[in-house]
Amino acid sequence: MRILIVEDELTLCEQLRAFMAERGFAVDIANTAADGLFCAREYPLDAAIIDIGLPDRSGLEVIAELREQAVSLPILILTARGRWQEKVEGLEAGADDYLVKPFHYQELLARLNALIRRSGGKAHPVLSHQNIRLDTISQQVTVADKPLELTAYEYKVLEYLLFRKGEVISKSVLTEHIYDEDFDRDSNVIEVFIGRLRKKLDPDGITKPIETLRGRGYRIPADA
Amino acid sequence: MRLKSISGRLLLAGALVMIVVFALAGWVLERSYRSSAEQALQETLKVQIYALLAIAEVNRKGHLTLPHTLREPRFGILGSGLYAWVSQRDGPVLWHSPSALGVAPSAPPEFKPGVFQFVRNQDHRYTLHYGVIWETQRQHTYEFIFSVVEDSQFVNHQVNRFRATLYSGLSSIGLVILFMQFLVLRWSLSPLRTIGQDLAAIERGDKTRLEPNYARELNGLAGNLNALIISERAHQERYRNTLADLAHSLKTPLAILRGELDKPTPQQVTMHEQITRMNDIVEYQLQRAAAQGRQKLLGTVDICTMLRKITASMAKVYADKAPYFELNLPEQWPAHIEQGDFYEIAGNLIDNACKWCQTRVSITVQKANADNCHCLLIIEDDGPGIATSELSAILGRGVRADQNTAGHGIGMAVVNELITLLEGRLHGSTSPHLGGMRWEVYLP
Repeated sequence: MRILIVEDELTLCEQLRAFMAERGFAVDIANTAADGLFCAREYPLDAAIIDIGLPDRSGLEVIAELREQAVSLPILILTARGRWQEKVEGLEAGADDYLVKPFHYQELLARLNALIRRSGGKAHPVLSHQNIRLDTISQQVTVADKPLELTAYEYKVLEYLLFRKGEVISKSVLTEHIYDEDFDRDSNVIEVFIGRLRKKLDPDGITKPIETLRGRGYRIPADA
Repeated sequence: MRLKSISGRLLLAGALVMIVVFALAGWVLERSYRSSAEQALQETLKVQIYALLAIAEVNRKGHLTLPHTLREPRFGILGSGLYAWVSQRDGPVLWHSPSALGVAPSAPPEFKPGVFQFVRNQDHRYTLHYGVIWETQRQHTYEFIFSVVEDSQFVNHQVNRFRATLYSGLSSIGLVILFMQFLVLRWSLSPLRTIGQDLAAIERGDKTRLEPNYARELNGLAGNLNALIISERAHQERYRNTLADLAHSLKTPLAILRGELDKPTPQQVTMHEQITRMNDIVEYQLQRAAAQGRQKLLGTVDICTMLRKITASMAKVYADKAPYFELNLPEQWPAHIEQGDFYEIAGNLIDNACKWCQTRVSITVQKANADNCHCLLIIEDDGPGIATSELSAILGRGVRADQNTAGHGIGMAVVNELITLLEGRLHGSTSPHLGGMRWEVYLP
């Protein structure tokens, strides 16, 4: 999943980036409202965390402008202003949830995951296909109830494919959603990750959970 | 009795001044009239004396004689009130009119020939004396005093009639003047009345400022009041922004500190706790500082609109739980409360209801039947509720942010503080309707 963090406090921003990256997110950073607007419009994001107190414009204005431009990605407001009037104004402006500083990082993660899940129409935090189960909260993957060890990027690829179950995901889209903007990309790496995932998920080649659609991309088929 | 209305005071003062002036004027007029009446009487009596002189004769023996029948018929009627005497200087009465029979003559004054002397006697009679030196053809001279008397009843009757006419006339004029004064005051004070109505409209929230054109004398006052209202609003806004900035500058470092302590070791757990405690205290004190209390001059806000906004926000925040909101709200309900304060009260209570409910949250606004409180906000849920023993701890005065019941954070302490500041009341019980918690908020 690829997220955007719009926060002007550099130390907090770096902490958030490190925390989210550690949990498998591709993270884009913006320190001003203008940068945040640009990133939200240009990058294929799955969610955004926006601080209200930005130096050039209010975070609320950024959210309102994004909603006016029909950008529908889920947005979580990060605010130091704990008053209810400001929370309601933020949610009215188009945010989907709020978190008051200082926050627990685990709570931030849980809320962000819930937002992403809801935006994909998933009511449950566990994504599944055949005998594969992926828990978005604990980030554990099991196959036939046995835990499976995946690298961070393998997890990202599987999570995204399960999240978009039934959809054909091209290599470029997959790349954009698992790497942030600063990463040096190589589309051949995706093929390597898919190959490794297939071996780990279906070592005997029986269930074939990931389909390849030549020239178009990959797909985990929808349940029949 | 204290009159609180300016027009009432002016009217009363005007009426009192008018009564005093009219009473003095009446007294002066009455005295003048009496004086004129007495002057007229003196002239009449003078004519009577001339008439008596014209018919009086002194015979050869030196006796004064007058005809038995006189021209003035009242002289012939016994007790008619008009009497005449002729007496010798320092001597006896020589003649009296038939009307004076049995009436004691007035004592003649010092003899002054050719001089009329007008006297008001103590026996309520007016007397005109005239001293005459009468010389006969035989060169004899006699000294007589002609006295004509009129009862004072005659003058008194005239004065009384004048007085009755005078005072009824003055009373009528007074009433007309009072009514005109009332109309003049009403017209003159109408700018003050308009300013009062406009201030009431500002309190209701129908207007945001006073008009600039009441009356030249009041324009300064209206301008200063407008400046006060604007400055109060600006002050509140500035105050709120300062608090928000303060919150931002305090909480972002706290967020960084908490981020650094992501992997809990025993020491870091303590630091976590202390950071949480510091944050709660900062939050609680900031919320208290931002509370505005009752702000009549800043108008009213519609609490129903705010409640709808809060529930719409809660529906987003609790999208996974998807509580069913049962709203029993009138179309609008204006209240004298600062918007931020109401958001804080209702936001915290509805947030708690959503947090603890199973599926349902009910919000009702209705008229309150309590002293000074006209609005009752009821928030109920179908959750587990709160034990009575915990309730008193949550609502107890002086409960500090770091001593609040777990699960309720600083929210309830802030709510209780705000409601107290607004001179309202908060009451918690079990909802008979949904079975969970029921909070009743009485607002002025």
